[in-house]
Amino acid sequence: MSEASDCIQHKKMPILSLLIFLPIIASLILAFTPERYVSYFKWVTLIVTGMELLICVYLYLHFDTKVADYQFLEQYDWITLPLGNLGIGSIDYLLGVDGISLPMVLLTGIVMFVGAISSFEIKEKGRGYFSLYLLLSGSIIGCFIALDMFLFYLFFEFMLLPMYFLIGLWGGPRREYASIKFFLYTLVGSIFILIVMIGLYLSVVDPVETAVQMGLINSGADVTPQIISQIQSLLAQGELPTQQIVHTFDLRFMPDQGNYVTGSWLNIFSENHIGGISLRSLSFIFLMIGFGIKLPTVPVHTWLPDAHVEAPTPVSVVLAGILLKIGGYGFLRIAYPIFPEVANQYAVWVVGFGVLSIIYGAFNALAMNDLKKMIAYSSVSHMGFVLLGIGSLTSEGFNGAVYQMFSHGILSAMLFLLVGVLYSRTHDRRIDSYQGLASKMPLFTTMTAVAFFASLGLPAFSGFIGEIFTLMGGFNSPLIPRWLVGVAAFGLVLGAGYFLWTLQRMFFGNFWLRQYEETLKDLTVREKFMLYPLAILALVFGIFPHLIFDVTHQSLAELLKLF
Amino acid sequence: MPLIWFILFTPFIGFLTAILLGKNRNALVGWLTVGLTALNLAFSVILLLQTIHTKDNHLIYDWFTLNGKAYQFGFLFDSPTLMMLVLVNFIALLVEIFSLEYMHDDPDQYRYFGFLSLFVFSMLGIVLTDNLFVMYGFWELVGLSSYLLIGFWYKKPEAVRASKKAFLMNRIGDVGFLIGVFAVYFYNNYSVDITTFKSGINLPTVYCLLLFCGCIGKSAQFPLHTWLPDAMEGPTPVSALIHAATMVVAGIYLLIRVQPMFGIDALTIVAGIGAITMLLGSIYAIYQTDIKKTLAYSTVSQLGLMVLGLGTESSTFHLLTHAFFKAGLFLSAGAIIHALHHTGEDFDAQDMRLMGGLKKKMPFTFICYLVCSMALMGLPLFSGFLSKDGILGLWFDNNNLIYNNIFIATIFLGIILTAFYMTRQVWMIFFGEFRNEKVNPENIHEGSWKIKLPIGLLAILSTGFVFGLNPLSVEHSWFWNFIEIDLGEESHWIGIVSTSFALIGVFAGYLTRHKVFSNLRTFDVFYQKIFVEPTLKISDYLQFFDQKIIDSFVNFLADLQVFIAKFIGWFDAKVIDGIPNGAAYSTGIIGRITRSAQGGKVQLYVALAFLGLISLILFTILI
Repeated sequence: MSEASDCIQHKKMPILSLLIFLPIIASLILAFTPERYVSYFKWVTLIVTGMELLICVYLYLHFDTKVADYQFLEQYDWITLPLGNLGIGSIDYLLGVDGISLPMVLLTGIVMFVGAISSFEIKEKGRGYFSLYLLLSGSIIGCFIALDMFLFYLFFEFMLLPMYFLIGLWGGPRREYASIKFFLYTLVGSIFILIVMIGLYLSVVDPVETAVQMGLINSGADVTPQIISQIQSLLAQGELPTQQIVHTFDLRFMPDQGNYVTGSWLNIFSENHIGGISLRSLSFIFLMIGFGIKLPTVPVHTWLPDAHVEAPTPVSVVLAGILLKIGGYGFLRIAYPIFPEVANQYAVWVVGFGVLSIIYGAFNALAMNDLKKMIAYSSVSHMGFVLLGIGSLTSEGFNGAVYQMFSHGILSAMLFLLVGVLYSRTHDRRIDSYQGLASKMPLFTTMTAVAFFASLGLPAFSGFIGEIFTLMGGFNSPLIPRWLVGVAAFGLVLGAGYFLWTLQRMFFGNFWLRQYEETLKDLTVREKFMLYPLAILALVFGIFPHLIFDVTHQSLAELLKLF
Repeated sequence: MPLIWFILFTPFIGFLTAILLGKNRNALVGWLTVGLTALNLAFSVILLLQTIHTKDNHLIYDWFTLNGKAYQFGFLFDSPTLMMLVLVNFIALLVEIFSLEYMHDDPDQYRYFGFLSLFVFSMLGIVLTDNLFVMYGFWELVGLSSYLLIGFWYKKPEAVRASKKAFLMNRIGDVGFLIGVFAVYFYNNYSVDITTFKSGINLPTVYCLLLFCGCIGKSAQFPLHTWLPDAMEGPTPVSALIHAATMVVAGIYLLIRVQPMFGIDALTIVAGIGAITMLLGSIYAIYQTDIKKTLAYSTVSQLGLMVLGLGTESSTFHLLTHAFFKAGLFLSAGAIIHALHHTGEDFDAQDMRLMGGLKKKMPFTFICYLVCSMALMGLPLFSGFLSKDGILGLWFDNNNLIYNNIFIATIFLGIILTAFYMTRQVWMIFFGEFRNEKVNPENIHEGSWKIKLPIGLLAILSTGFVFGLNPLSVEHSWFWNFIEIDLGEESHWIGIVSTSFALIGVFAGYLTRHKVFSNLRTFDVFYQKIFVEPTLKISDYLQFFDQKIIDSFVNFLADLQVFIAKFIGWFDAKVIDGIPNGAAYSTGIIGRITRSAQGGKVQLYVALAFLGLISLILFTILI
């Protein structure tokens, strides 16, 4: 961890901050621009998200794939306050990316840009919509690149605000119910995270800052591994003066069990129990619940279908494309590195919930008559593979899980855009209202077929790699009974089932509509602009998996060493 | 060697150009596809001539690495691969030439030829790749192209249903296959390279069988065989190429590749499944009245026979001969359907009950059909005889295989049944009187050279002379030389016995030639009840559970919250706030009472003062 603070790049442009604040500033500007310029807002949004995408691509291209550590670090002291006997509290403004977050950042860039194209169809209250959309964009990115847990939590919570209004104001008929449900669900989850966060804060010490406080070194830049181990041994013997201990939210220090105050709540040697469960296990469970709601995991998934059905198309796209990934990201960034021994112990449970989500989501998708709900449940099913991969605690599983998140981001965005295309023409999402669309909308049908087949895990598309590697991870893991992996693999059959059945019912056969629509046209140029690139991306990432694996595997290998 | 890249990607280019050229250039697309396939055939033959019997036949490329484990892809072109390359390209070429005429009037030809090219691409991928992981990828792509081609006429509900069924049933097998691949990866030292598969690998029997599931799905083995007859909803040339000659034998090809790892238990179960499939297929074939469905069940049965070859060279040989004669049969059937279709009347052109006497109208097709069916029956001088005896020989020679008597008996029974249904079919189609009154027999004509050439070639390739100068002797055919196996001298009585069984079948078929068998219940009814309906039921129940239980619970929590909030609100308003309010209220009452005492009336004051005085006096006196 010592090198981490060395590579603070003071001289370089603060590119990660730019990534966060560009959309937020644009959002504020839009919010205070007079309503009469509203027709330009969508273009501003498009340009800003386009710039974001370019920055993300820049990050991706300049990311050093040989290194497991955090890169593009930016660190500033934000809040430091003495807490008397509790030591010194320190909250940093700390940003950085590694192999786990970079794919998510890239995904955010892609999906937000495509979502901006899709937002062109928003006709009413444009000013509010576009400024909230940009605000959302900034806070999501912030969530993925914050390395201070407090900052992470801040963005995590802050995201709810634009999301709540975007669903609640521009949504469908039951939008109020859906937005409140979404808000409360996530809030409940984040309370669990908050509890753990406070526990961690009181337990974890920033050895660098503590050394500075004790006068061992002058500034964080002088730190050496000897100093760190000196501090840690003092800490272990309980000989550090409590007033000089600097508590931290820094996620880089939390995985190192040497940084925990002796006897503190979450120290691995402390025997603190509540109801027979150690506090560390309980914290892990809390994080599982908090991030599991976001993922979502059965049985805490029921906000998802409602939120999706009521949200306007671009918001659904962002929701499925990125927001769900924060759950999986949270596992890999927070729960697993900090509580590795608990994760090891509960591996079967994690995988069990993953498999449950896969099967349960697939069965529910099969029962759906609402196209958007069907896809929402398919998301539940596909995100189950993420849990399966993470829970397997193998290299294949971890990499596969990140891959699956990335791939699902692209494919679910595409799927929801396709539903939006149809809905914008007919205002009807029921599967049984359509038949034989292939003869009237051939391009639309082709794109839907591509998205469906890519989602059901056809090789050469990205979904295949994610599903195969998570399954392979589960199979190779000594912690997981193999029959569980077999059950998960059965989800592939069910997945093919509901997608092909939908194709059969809606697109094939003779043309028929419940309500005849004159305006049933094939894809417009704008729709092609959002769908074609996604299809090509799904294909490219399916054929060249190293585009993601090269980025992820170093960091994940580092993470795996903890187990 | 770049040639191999050309071989793999020429059909893919064919697919792309076909889709890009689109509807307006249908004719061009057709000829272009034929041209590309011919080119690819030439490439394959060149590759075959260059590399046959060289040891240097394995190219490996890095695909990606993950934590030091390299995931590779590569090309392996040993004799089975070279054979499959030429075979697939050759049959594809013939089928495409045939399709030029057969699909001539279809407005979506570009799509048809594009999908055919996609199929050839994925099939070549399966046979060229050197590892199971990549093979699984192409395996699924083959499934996709099969799906697209079965459902080519997407307005026909049966076709769409059949395509979905084919894909799903294949998927079931593929899930097993996939887990099998994981197991190979795990037990074979993190390698799925085909060349490393040796009998030394201790792959547990259960994983062998899971690997074999891939074959069960793709090669339509029992119990997943029912998709193949339904797949006949696709265009007939597609049935010839994909569902007879090439795709369905991918499973056999897989078995050939992985069979070295199989232990004796696994092989026995595999043989058992092959035997059941062979018998089931031939029994069902008897009961069909649709010309293509008979052939489809016959394919099922022949695939069972190939599995009974246990993935040895005998399987490979039968795969080869079967590809020619079955493609020949399907294309001939296609020629008949095409001819009947072009009479302009509206009727089921595939119903054999409406055929008969076509020998006179279509003599060329008749001869080809006859040759191919004799090859299928395994009569001497025809190719089927050679390959079938190879499989029988395997079972006679290897006495260490368990229950080999039962399996030999099954094969003989299969031979009888095959001869039986084929004799009857040939009779129903070509002999007797023409039974369709709607159609004037004068309007039935043979097709052009585009139809005759493929059929003729396939018929020639179904004769035994092609495979060896002595068409009665298995061991002298060039095939064994090609595959580099030195077959020992074989006892000729196997050929004699199998021929006599076939003749029994022919005779029985001739005796029952006027009787029509139909309506045997298929497994589908059973599967519908056991698997499909319960799956849909479960999904409905789970949906109910999701909405009425989980979500209701969530909503209940929310309502509870609201209720508690309201209660607290009430408590706050009535009780907490009630105390100060009550105090204020009572003060008010007292105030009102006392205020009334201050009415400003002098009399009242006097009265009150007096009353007060009295009470004061009373008070002091009493106390």
